[in-house]
Amino acid sequence: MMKINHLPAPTWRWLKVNGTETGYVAGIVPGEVSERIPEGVVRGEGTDKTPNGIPDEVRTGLGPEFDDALTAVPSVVYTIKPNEDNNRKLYQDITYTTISSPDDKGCVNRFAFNCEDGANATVIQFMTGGGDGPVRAALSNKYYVGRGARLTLVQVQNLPEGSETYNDCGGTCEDGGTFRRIQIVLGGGRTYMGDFCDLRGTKSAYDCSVAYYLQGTHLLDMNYVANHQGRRSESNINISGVMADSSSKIFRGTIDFHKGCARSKGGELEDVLLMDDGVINRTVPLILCDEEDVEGSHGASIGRPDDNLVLYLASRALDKDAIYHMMARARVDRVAALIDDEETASRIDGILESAAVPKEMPAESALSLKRH
Amino acid sequence: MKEKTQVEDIDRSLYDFRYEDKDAYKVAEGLTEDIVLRISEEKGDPEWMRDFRIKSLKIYNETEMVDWGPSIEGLDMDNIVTYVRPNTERMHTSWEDVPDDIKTTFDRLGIPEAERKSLAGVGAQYDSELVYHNVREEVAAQGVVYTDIESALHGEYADMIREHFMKLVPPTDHKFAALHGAVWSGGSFVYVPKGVHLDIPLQSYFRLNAKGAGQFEHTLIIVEEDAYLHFIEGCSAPKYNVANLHAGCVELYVRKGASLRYSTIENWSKNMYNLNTKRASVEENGKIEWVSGSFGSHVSYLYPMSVLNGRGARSEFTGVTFAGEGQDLDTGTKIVHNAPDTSSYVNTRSISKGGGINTFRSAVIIGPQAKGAKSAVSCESLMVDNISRSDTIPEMDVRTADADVGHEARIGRISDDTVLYLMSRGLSEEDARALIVRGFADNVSKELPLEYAVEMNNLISIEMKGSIG
Repeated sequence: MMKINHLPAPTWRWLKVNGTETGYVAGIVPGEVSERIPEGVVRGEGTDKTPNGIPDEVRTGLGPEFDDALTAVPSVVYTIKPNEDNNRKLYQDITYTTISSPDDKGCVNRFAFNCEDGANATVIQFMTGGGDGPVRAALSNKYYVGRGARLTLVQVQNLPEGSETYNDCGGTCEDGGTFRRIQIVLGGGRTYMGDFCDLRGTKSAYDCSVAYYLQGTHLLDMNYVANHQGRRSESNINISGVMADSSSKIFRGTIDFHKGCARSKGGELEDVLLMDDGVINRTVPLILCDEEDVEGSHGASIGRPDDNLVLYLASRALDKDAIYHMMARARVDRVAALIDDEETASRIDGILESAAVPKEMPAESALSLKRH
Repeated sequence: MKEKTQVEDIDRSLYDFRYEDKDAYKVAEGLTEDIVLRISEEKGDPEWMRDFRIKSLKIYNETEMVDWGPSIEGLDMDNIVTYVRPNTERMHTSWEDVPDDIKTTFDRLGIPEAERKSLAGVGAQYDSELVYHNVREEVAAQGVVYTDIESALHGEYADMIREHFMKLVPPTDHKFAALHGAVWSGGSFVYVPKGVHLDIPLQSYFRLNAKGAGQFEHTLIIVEEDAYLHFIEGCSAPKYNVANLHAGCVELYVRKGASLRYSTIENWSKNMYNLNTKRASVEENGKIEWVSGSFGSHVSYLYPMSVLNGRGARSEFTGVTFAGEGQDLDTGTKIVHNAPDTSSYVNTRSISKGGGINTFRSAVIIGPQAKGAKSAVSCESLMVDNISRSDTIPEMDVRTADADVGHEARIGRISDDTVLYLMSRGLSEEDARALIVRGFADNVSKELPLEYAVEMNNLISIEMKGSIG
């Protein structure tokens, strides 16, 4: 068994949140990637565990056992050079092959982004299945954000029902470097994801926003770590989601202030809307503090929709299902709105409108969910 | 010359005195079946209790050591004496009959004075045995039972003890619960009959005097329907250069509509491993209130747990932890919502200084049957210097949509803005900082009876001087 998503500071064993055991065995075939590379981004390849251009070994959210398991597949390395275009976008559509049997190891993709000093770019990844059947997908993204550089990674996961996905990430930010992560999880099956952002530079920053919509028997298992080492570093981890039917979720979020990261700030916030009694929601938000001069906070709000809001919307002639789905949609929309790209926003809109509206919902209620 | 602001360690001179061991009897160091049987024999256990001890020892030997939390490598059970009977023949009901050195100990801790002034009853444990137990006549007349647990085990409450003993905290709960089951000694039994409302508190005080010893007292409290009790426990020990161990167990049964407030001021010495287990079962519309001040011990694992089993049951936890030099205090609470419309509220403060380590750890479990459950957790941590550490490790597990769970935590230092504001109102900088630090722990002190609030403030003993350098 492979252990992934280790909680940085373990707690009572009976809670079963210190990590997750999985029988994952990595495949050696990459998923099909269709990409558009902007000017000033150079594509290369590396086989080392440490991708080219990224100086130190990179820690990731899913952890070393998972990272080590992927090394048979070469990492595709993108070197992002600084130029005057601050709005560069690298589009990647990753299509995973439908698995033919439960033993099928599925596909593995490894990417590394070396965002050089002063460079600025957005990487937009769409993860989809090659057919209606389930996929087994492993995706690793590593990043190095140089001085004054800014890298945004947008991920939209829209995989077929019954899929198993390992979505790993980790990297380092130097002085003034910012890594933004925007992640939207719509559908799938069993999804394991995480990020370990090493804020070693002064005034480095990590800004992570995740939205998810879980239905049926979906499982989402997350582990995000903001590792503050640099002075005046900042982190924000915002998780927003909706759980329906018998879905289950674990969110582990850690703000780790190391000695020397004076005047740093870290915050994490989770907002979970629970729609059905069969859901299992687990939240473990940690603050680890070895430095006096810092500010850390976390907050969580978990439960059903606010009664007053439901009452108000009902008075506007919306039925209960429509109200719940409107609230669910709002949580995903809030994160999607952070993506500064019309093309991507439009694609997410299309997915949401086909996925979030249940078939039995009355037409007039469905209409109320449309944004435009 | 400017001096850096100082927040002094807890002044424990009041507690750090000791008397020569004049114990009547102690078992050998370590933990073997022979030792457990010897303790059982000393206590005159009924057969079921002797078997229970042996079974617990087996569980202890088969259970893994914890692999989370502070290090307890310095605790070697081979060096711990698990039973020390002080030099007195029996439990007394008059302070005059208690041997002089033991009586002086409790006099210095202010226990007899507190009994006279503000308590309905007092129990005093010295090492492994209760040496004094008394309850006011008018309280006893209402049917309130407050006695040592050994007497209850052999008297008219024997069946009640057997029915409840280590049922809430079974020996399988964790390794030190199993240890407790094997070598427990001393502690109190309290029974408050239906409808009885005790306006003044009962108190037990635990003093561990023997070097290298363990204290394993068991507290069992049953508060019947619509009754009310405030129970206070205090504990202290002189400091030795070897490890001492406290692995007590508290089991509280709060029946329908009843209310129990359980207050603790814990001030063990800094060589103490405090691995205590406390748990309450709360029935319909019952309420448990935990008020917890943790100041002492070298290492603490302490998480009072509320199991809300009846509709409308409530739990409140108010705690403050002060970790200074050489201390690693892992404290918090656990709440299990097992019934509809249950609610819980947690409010904690922790202060770290002088290299002390504080960890707030919690779990809020809301089961599928707990529809309409509400829970709010708030924890704040203050770092007073740059050599200390403070961690927050909460967990929430929610398994019904019909729940409302909120959690917030903050960690930080004394706010410069607040200091500036107070200075603008005429306070000096050092006074402003002192005021902020004192006020930080106010949530607990205001929940305590006045005498104990004063004791707590003495414990914190925060002293500010000079200006920022």
